[in-house]
Amino acid sequence: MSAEQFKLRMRRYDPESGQAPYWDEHTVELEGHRSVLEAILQARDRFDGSIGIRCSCRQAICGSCGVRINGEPALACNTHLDAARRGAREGAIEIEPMGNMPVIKDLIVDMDAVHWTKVRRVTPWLINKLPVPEREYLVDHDSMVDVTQTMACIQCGACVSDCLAMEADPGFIGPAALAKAYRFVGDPRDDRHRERLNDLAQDPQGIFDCTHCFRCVQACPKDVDPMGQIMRLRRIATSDYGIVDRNNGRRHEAAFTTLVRDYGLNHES
Amino acid sequence: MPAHDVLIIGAGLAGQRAALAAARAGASVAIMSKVHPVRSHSVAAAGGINAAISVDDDWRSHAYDTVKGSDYLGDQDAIEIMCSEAPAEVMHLEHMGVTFHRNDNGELDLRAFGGASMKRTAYVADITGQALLHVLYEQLMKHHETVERLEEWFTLSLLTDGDGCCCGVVARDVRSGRVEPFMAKNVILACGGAGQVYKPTTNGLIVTGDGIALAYRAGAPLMDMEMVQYHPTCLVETGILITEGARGEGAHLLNANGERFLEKSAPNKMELASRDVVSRAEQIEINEGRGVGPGGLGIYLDVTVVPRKRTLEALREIVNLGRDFAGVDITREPITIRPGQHYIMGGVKTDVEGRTPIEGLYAAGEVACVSVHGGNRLGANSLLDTLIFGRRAGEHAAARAAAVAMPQIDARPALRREAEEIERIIARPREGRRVSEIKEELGEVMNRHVAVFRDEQGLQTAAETVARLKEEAARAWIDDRGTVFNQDVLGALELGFMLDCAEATVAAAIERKESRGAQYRTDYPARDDEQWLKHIDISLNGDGPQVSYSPVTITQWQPEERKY
Repeated sequence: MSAEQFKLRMRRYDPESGQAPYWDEHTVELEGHRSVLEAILQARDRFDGSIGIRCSCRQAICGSCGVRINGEPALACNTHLDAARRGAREGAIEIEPMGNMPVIKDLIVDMDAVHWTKVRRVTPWLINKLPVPEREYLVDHDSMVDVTQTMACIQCGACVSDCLAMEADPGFIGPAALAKAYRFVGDPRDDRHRERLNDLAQDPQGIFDCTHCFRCVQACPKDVDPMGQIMRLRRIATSDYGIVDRNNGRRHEAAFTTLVRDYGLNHES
Repeated sequence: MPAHDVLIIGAGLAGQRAALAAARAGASVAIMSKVHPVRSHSVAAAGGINAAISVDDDWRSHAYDTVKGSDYLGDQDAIEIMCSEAPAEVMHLEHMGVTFHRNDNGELDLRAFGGASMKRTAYVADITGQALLHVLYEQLMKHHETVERLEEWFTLSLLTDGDGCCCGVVARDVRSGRVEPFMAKNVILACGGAGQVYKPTTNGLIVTGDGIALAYRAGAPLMDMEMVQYHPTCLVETGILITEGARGEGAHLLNANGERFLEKSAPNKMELASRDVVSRAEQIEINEGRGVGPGGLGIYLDVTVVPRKRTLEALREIVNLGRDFAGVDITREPITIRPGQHYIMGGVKTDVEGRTPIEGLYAAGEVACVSVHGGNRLGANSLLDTLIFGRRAGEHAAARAAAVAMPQIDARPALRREAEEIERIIARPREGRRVSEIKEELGEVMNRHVAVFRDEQGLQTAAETVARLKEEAARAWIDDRGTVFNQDVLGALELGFMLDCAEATVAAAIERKESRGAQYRTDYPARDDEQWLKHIDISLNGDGPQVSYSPVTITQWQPEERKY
C-alpha cells in the first residue's frame, strides 16, 4: 500500500492569544489504513509543533486522544484515515475537540471539570462485602466477565462528548460515570447495591435523566454500551429492589409502559 | 511551598501502589504525574500477573522460573521476595475490586505464560493492566484526603541538599506552565521505562525515560541497561503489542513454510519459551528468508487454533487490535507480527526496599532495576514487580519519613535554573534540526544496532550517533512559544531524557562481551559466567557514562545451561 495525501482541517484555540478558535489546515502523507492520530502527529512533527492533543498509547487503551472527527466523537488513534475521508465534507477531515467539556487548548479539553467530577459523584470504589475472605471472594465467572465490560471503559470521554441529555442538563451524571456505577452494582463483592441504586434513582440527574438517544452507544470505542448499563441500573433498581423514585423520568416511563400494555400504542400527547 | 513526607513521581501501577502503601503507613503523600494517572502506560499491560496461588504451585517454582528466565542475571534475594509475596498481593488486589476472571469453582482462573513451568498467571481478559490501574485509581479517589494528586505536572529535576540527599523536585504544571518546587523527605521515582528510545516500540509516546535520566543526572547508578526486551509478537508496521496471552491460550507461530519453527530452539516449551528465546528464533527465520508478509519481515501468529468463543472472551482486546490496526479477524486468519521493543530490564539501581544509593531517593517499577528480571523478564512478572516493589518503597519511605526532619533548602536557584532552561529552549532560533527529526533518527538507530542481535561495529555506530544527536538536541528548535499545554517544549525535555537513556544502554551493551538474556552479541555468541555473571552499572561522570560492576546475588539456584 502506498502513501496518499490527506487534508486535515483542525480546530485550533490558543487561550493566550485573546483570539477566537479558528480552523487550521495541513496536508499529510500516509497510507489510508493509518490512523487520524498518526496524521495529526505527522502534521505536528513536520509543520507545527504547537498543535495540542493528548495522546500516548496509539492503541485505544489509554483513552487520551478523544476528539470529534467530522462531527462524531472518536479516538483519533483507532480511526482510519480512509474511513475518516469518506465521512469528510469537501475532502478535508475535520478534527475538533470533544463537546460538553471546556476547551483548554486546541484539541485538549478539561476532563477533570466535567468527566472526572461526575465519576467521583458515583462513589467509584468497591465497598467490600464483609467479612473480606482470606483468599479471593468466590464469585461466578460470568459475573466477572459481565462487569469487565464496564471495566473496559478507558475513560476517554467520547460518550460524554456526545451526550444529548448532558447538553440539555449539564448536571446529568452522564453515561461514563453511570457505566462506572454499574461496575459496582453488578459486582457481587460490593456491599452497597441498594444504597447505590437508591442514590442514583432519587437524584433527578441520575439514571432516569437519560433520554435513550443511543449516542453514547455509538460513540464508545470499547463497546462498553453505557446506555445499556444505565438501562440495567434502572431495571435492577425497579424490578429487583422495588425502588420507587419521584422523578418525572420514572413516571414518564411508567406511563409509556401502561399505554403500550393497555392500548398497544403510545400516545405521545 | 508544598512539602510532603513522600512525593511519588509517576502514577502508573508502581506509583499508585506506593502512594496507597505510604498513606496507609500514616505518611503525608503526594503523587505527581505528567499525564492523568489512568493514561499511564501500565494501562497497556495485557496478559496478566504471576503468582503461585494454585494449591499445587509453590512460590519457589515461580522464583526458579524467574531466575532461569533472567539467564541467571537476576538477584535471587529480590526474586525470592517478589515471588513469595506475590500471592498475598494478588489477593489484596482482588479485595480492592479487580475483576479477575474465575474458574468453575469461582476461584481466580490462571492462564499459561511464557517461561513458566505451570499455569500461574491471573488475568482480567486481556486488559489486566487496565483493570489493575483503574482499580488502583478508584482507591486513590477513595483516599483523596490522604493522597494529594498532582495530575499533569511534569518533573524537571530532582532537588538535593548539601549532603547529597534527595529532598524534592522542581516541576512544571503542564496546564499553566508554572514552574514550582516541591519539598519532600522522600522521593519515589515510579515513572516507567524508556521505550520511546526505540522506533517502533510497543510503549506509549509518554514513555521517555524521564525517571531514569533524572536519577542518572542526580548521580544515581543505572544497572542492566543493556538488557532491552524485544517482545515476540508486535504488529509489523506500528509495533503495537499482541499479548503473550494469545500464545498462552494456545496460538502458534508459523514461518513462510507453515512450520512451527520453535521446534528447533525450544522443543519443550515451543511458543511459550521465554521472550528472548522466541524473539531470536523469529528473527532468525526472518533473516534467513522464511519470513512472511511484505519484504518477508514478519511471522504468522495463528490464533485460529484457539476456540473462537474462548478468543472472544479471553482475548477481546486483541480481536479489536487485529481489526482496527491490521485489518485482520484473528479468529479466522493468522496475523503478521515480528519482534519489537517492549521493556527495559535495566533502570535505576535499587535494593529490595526500593532505595537508590542516594539518600531519600527511591525507585520502583520499570524505572528501577532491583534486579528481578536480570537479562530477560518473564511475561506477567512486570505487573508483579511494580506492585510488590511499589508497595515496599512506599512503606519504607513512610517509615523513613517518621525518623527524619523535613529538609530545609533554598530551592530558588534550582527553580530559576529550570525556568531559564525552558525559556532558552523556547527562544532557540530555527536553525539546525527539529526535535522530532532527532527523535526519529534515535529510534531508528537503536532499533537497527541495539536490538535482538548486536555486534561491536553496530554498537559503535550507535554510540557515535547518540553522541552526535546529543549535540544536535542541545540546539534543536520547537514551534510553540506559549505556556498553556506547551507539549512542544516538554517534547524537547523528553528528548534529552531519552538520549541519556540511550547513551547508558549503548555503553552497557558495548561493555558486555558475551550473550546473555536479551543481549545477544553475534561476535560473542556464548554466555560466559566466569567473566560476565555480574551486573554492569553505569554512572554519569562529568559528561559521559562510566562503567563499574556489581555482583549478582545467588541464593539457591546455581547457573546452569538454559533450555526450553
